[in-house]
Amino acid sequence: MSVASRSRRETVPPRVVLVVLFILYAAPLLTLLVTSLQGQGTLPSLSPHALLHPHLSAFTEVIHAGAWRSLRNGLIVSTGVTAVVLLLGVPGAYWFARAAPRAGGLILLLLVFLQMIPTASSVIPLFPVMTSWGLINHLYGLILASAGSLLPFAILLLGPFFAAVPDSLYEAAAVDGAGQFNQFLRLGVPLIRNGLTTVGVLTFMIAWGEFVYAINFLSGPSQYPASALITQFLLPYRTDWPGLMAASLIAAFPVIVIFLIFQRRLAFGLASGAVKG
Amino acid sequence: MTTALISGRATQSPGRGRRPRRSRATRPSVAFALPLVAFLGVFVAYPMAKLVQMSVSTVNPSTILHTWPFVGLANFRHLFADPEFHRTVWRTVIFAVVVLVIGVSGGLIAALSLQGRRKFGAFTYALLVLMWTLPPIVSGSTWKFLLSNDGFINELLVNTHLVSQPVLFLIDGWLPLLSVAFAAGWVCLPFATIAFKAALLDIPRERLEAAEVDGAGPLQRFAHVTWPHLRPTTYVVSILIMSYAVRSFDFAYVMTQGGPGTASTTLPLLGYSSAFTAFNYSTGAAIAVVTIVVVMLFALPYARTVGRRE
Repeated sequence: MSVASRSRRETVPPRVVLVVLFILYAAPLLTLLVTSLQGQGTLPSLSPHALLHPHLSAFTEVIHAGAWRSLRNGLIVSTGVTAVVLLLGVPGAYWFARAAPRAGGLILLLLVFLQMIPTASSVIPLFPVMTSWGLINHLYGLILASAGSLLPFAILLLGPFFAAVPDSLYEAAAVDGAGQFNQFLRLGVPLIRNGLTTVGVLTFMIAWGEFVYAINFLSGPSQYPASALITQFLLPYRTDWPGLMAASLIAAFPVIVIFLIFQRRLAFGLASGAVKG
Repeated sequence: MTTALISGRATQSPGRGRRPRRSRATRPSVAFALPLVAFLGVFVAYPMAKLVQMSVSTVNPSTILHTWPFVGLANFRHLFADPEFHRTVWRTVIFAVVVLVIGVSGGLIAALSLQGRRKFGAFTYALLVLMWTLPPIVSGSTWKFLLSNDGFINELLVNTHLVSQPVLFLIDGWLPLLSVAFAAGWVCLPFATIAFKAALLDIPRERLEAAEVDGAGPLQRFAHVTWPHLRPTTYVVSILIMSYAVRSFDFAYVMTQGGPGTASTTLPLLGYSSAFTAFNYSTGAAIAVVTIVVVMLFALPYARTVGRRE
C-alpha cells in the first residue's frame, strides 16, 4: 500500500506536531551531551562560547569518582539479574502456559499485582529481611532482590510466547520419545528464542536502571552500579551540573548501545501486538 | 523504563492467534515451576508478609533487627488522622491525572502524526522509544537540570525576554509537583505511542475508504472510524499509565526529593521518606501497604482485559 494513499485517508495532524515532538525528545539527549562537556563545576550555558569550547573535566571527575567500577558493578548486577530471571522464569512460564491454562486467570492476576508493587514500597520490608539474612552489602544480595521484583514481569511477557506453540508439536515430540525435559529444552525453548531475546534484553535494561535497592542494600559508592552512582552527584544545593550530566551519560551509554543493537527486535517484540482490544 | 508499562503492551504480542487446543497427555511436570515459586516465596511473598507485619507493629531503629511489638491498627489510625497524609493522597491524585493526560493524549497525537511519514517519522519514533528505555534516573536528572533555576529552559526564557526572572519550576508552589508529573508523563508518552501506533495499523482500510467515499472529512473519519477502534487500547493504556503514576518514585526522587518540604511528595515518596529519612519504619510500612492497595485496584481491571484477550 502506498504511503501517499494512507496519509490521505487517515487523520494526520500537521507536520509541526511531529517537529514539536521531535524537539521534546531530542532536547534532553542533546542537553546531556552538551552539558557534560562544559567543564566540571561550571554553570552550563547555551552561549556559543560555552558550546564551542568543550571540556572533558566533568568526565575526568566522574571517572575519578569510580565510573569504571560502577560500570563493572552494573554489568555484574544486570547480568546476574538477567540470568536468575531467565533460569527461573523460562521453565516457570513454560509450566504456566502448558499446564495451568485453567488457573490462568488467578495466576495472571497475581503476576500483574506482583509486578505492580512499587520498589519504593518493597524496599521497606526487604531492608530488615535482607539484613537478617546477611544479604546486605553484597552484589549478589542486590541481584536476588532485583530478580524477585522483575520475575513476575518476565513471566507475563514470556507466557504468550509459550502459549503460541501448538500442543500438537509437543505431542509429536512425545510420540517420538522425547521426555518432559527434552520437550522443554529441545522444542519449547528454541521455538520461543525471539521471546527469550526480547525478555532478556528488557530485563537487563531495567535491572541496569534500578537504583532504589542499590542505594539501600549496598555499603557505599564503591559498590554502586552506574545508575546508583548518579545519586552521588545529586547534591541538594549547588549541583555540579556537568558532573551530574556526565555521570548520567556514562550510565546511559550501555543502554543506548543495546538499544541500537536490538532496536528491530525490541520494536517487534514491543509493538507487534501492542495493547489490542 | 518501567516494568508495568512494558509488559502492558507486549503481553499479548505473539499469542494473537487462537489459543491452541490443550491435551492432558503432555502436561508438563510441576517441577518446572517449583524453583520459581520457591524463589518468589522467599524474595517476594515473605517480604510482603513482613511488610504487613511491620505496618501493625512498632518498628524503629532500635527494634528493627529484633522483635517488633504488635500494636494492631494504631499506625493506620495515626496515618488516616494525619493531615499531611491527606494532602499526599490529593497530590498523588493530581499527579496521576496530569501524567495520564500527558501520556494518553500525547501518545495518541504522536501516533496519529507518525502515520505515513516515512523518514522523519521513523526517526522520531526511534528517538521516542530510545528516550523511554533510558534509565529513569538519567532522564530525571536531565529534566532536573533543564527545569532548574539556571537550566537551559530558564536561560532561553530569560534571554528571549519572555520572563524577567527565572521560573522556579522545581521550587515554587504547585510547580514542583507539576514539573515532576510532566517528566513522568513525558516518559509514558512513548509507551502510549507504541500502543496506539499498533492499534492504528489494525484499522481495516476498507472502513476508512468507505467513509471517504461517503464524503466524511478527516475529523469525521477520526470520530466515526478511528476513535471507536482505539477505545479499547485507550482503556488499557490509561489503566497502565495511572498505575505507573501512582507507583512513580524515580523522577520525584531525582528532581525534587519530594520537596521543597512535601510540595511534590506522592504516596511512594512519603512511605520511603518515613522509613529511610525519618526512620519510622512502621509508618513507612503502613503507607506502603496503602500504596500497594491503591495500585492493586488497577491490577484487577488490567488482568481482566489481558485474560479476556488470551
